[in-house]
Amino acid sequence: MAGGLAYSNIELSIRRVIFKEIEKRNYREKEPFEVLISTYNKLFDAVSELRHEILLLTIQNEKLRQENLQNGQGTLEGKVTEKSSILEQKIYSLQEELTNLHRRKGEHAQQIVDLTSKLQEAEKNLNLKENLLSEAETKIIALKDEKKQLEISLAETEGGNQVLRDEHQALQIAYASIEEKLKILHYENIALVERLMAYKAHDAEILNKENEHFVKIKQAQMQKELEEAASEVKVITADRVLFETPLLSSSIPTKVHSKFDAHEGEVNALQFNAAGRMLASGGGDRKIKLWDIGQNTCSLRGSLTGSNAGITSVEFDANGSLILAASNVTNQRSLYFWVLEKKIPILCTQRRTILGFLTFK
Amino acid sequence: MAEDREILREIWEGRLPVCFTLATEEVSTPIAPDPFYLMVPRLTYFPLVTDKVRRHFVRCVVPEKHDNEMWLEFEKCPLKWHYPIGLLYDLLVTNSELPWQLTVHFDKYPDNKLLKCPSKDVVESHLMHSLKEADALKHKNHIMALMQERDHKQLWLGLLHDRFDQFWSANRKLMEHSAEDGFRYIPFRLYAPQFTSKPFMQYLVKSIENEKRLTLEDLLQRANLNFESKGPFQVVIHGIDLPLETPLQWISEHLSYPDNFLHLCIRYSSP
Amino acid sequence: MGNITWEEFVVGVRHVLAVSDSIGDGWHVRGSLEEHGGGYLAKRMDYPVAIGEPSERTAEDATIDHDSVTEPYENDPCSIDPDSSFRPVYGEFHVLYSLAHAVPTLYLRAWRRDGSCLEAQELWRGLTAAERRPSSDESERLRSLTQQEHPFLGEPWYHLHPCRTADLMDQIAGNDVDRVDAKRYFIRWMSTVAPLVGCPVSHHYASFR
Repeated sequence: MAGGLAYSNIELSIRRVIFKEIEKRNYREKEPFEVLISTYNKLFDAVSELRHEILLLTIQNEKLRQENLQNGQGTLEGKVTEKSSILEQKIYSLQEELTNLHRRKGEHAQQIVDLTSKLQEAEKNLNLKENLLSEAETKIIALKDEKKQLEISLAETEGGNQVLRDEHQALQIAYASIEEKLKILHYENIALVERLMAYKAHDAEILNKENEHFVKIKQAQMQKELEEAASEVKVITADRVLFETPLLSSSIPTKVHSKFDAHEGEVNALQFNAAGRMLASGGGDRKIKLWDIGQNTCSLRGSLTGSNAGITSVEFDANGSLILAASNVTNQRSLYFWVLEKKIPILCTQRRTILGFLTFK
Repeated sequence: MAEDREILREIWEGRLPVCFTLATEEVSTPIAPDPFYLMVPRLTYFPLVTDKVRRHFVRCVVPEKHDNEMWLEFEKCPLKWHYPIGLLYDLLVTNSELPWQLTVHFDKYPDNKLLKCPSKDVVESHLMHSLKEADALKHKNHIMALMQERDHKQLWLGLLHDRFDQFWSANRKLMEHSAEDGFRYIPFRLYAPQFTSKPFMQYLVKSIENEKRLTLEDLLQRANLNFESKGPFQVVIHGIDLPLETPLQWISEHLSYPDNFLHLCIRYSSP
Repeated sequence: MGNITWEEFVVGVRHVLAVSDSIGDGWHVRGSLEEHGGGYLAKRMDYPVAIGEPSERTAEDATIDHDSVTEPYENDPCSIDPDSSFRPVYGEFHVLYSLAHAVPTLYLRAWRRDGSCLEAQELWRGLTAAERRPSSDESERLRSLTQQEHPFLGEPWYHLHPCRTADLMDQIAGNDVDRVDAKRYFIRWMSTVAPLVGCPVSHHYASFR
């Protein structure tokens, strides 16, 4: 802005010259015409507007004239028709205005109705919202109370917990001490028991010794008696022996009568019948086999089947026509009756306990 | 930076009275339309102010031509709409008979001589084109490139609606220069039809050379033409004679047209 | 830098003249190159464009039997149909130097045989068809021809906007750090821009000697 060669200042004289030139130009070109042409433009616009209006009015006029002619009013009543047409025009325009106003009134009424309904809706919404709000508030209060309650009960539970913990602690301690005591007693017990055993052993020893001693004495006595008896000789006659003292010769078997495989598996039960001629054997193969005992042989007479499991016990009845057998199954312990002729059991019962030996009675 | 507001204002308010008449051969109504008078601003372009003219006259031509482009003619010479009105007047009218009588045509658009102008957008792009060229000369195009779309619009709308303040609030940015140097080159066009068949002369002239401010005289010298050979002449712009000793920088800032160019006409006072 | 001075422009012009004379390409100078900004390069040629008058065509075809050759022609404005489609036009290309933007600019105009001028739309339609190349956005922008007053002839010519040229040349120059040789710059510019508007640039111009 200040100084410098390019500062676009200019000698005032030159500027004055230029300004004067501009003024001259305006005087020449602008001023004489400005007002004139602007007025002309205004008039021109006004004229064109008026022309336009005239055009509209002529059109209207024509229309009305047409209507008049149609209504049959002739040219004789020219003046009256003119007046009436003017009046009619006035009426027409006023009617238009009236309808316009009516229409606007209707629109406004409609608007009012719309607005009132909107207002009502808004109020309803507001009420709803307020209700919801108050409900929510009461809920909040209730929940707060609940919360308080829960807090109290929580505190209580915690207290109880704490108490229990303390008790537990105390009991633990007591238990520990008692355990200690028990251990001590246990050890004492063991010690005592040992002592007792020791004493008992000692007693037993003494008793044994005494027994031995007694036996020795008895033996000695016996020997003495025997010796005495042996020294005495008695006479025995034969007939006395036969009638008075039954003699049974018994002997321990030293020789096997016969040996044969009777069953596929183990043999669990054997029974002679009353006559001693038949042998019934029951085995793990679930069969009862009947053997005829001859002088030196045993022959299979028959086998009885029908048991579910190994036979554990066999018994003839007094007549020798029925066999009772027991079998052993893990869950079922069964009793079977066979009729000898039939070879299949005719009766079967189950018992819970293992039947060991059975006898007919 | 274009501080002499009074001068700026006076230049902006320059007006010319114009009388538009429809070409007689194109009248198709029984009664010829009245001529249309209008005060047109010197600084604007014809397509921006002739809407009313068109409306007034287009009713009177045959309907097929109602959509044609309107063109103006002065003494058989079609008017180039892309020249500012003030320039056209200074260039073509020597007898200064006012109002300026122009003929309106709708037919036979001379498209070998006139650019097409189907809408105001064409005028806008022409204005922008000129502004860019002027700025390229003044500031290597820096300022136009920096200006936003909004400012460009302001320039256009200010011109379109004849709003001095709106236009100049944006235009002053284009008139900025560093205090020492002035503009890089002065944007101008010299119209001297007596000397050349070219429509105008344009060459590079600085605003300051060898520490001296250049004046109008220096500009004319650099044209290398002997203007005085044809007699006494004046340099006319906006209808005024410029003193030859006026500094170029000042002229460029204050007397440029809205397209930022100085459109200088050489006019001879001899008959 | 995307700009050149007047002197560099003249150098480029002289180079083009030299090559053009040797291959008979038809470029010549109008005005005077001695004066600063006083001359330009010009060339006149037959425009490689097939233009038809659409209104005539459709009127004719309405009466002609549609199985004939004219039907496929309707969709392809480029097909050479001897009777009605191919109307050769001729165009002129001028390369001017823009003082303001310090770049070369291209002006062009096309006339029909009867002397009437072609409009931009017709030019485009013809060109795109002739080149058989889909027009991308970039080339569309470059092709934004506007009508301008020819600085020498004062008539309306189509003109490629110069303020994009500087950017374009910057992009093309790309990696060259030093100031580009004026001839190279000129030929680069011409060979980029001229073919887009239908003026072919022969490879002979690229031999710098």
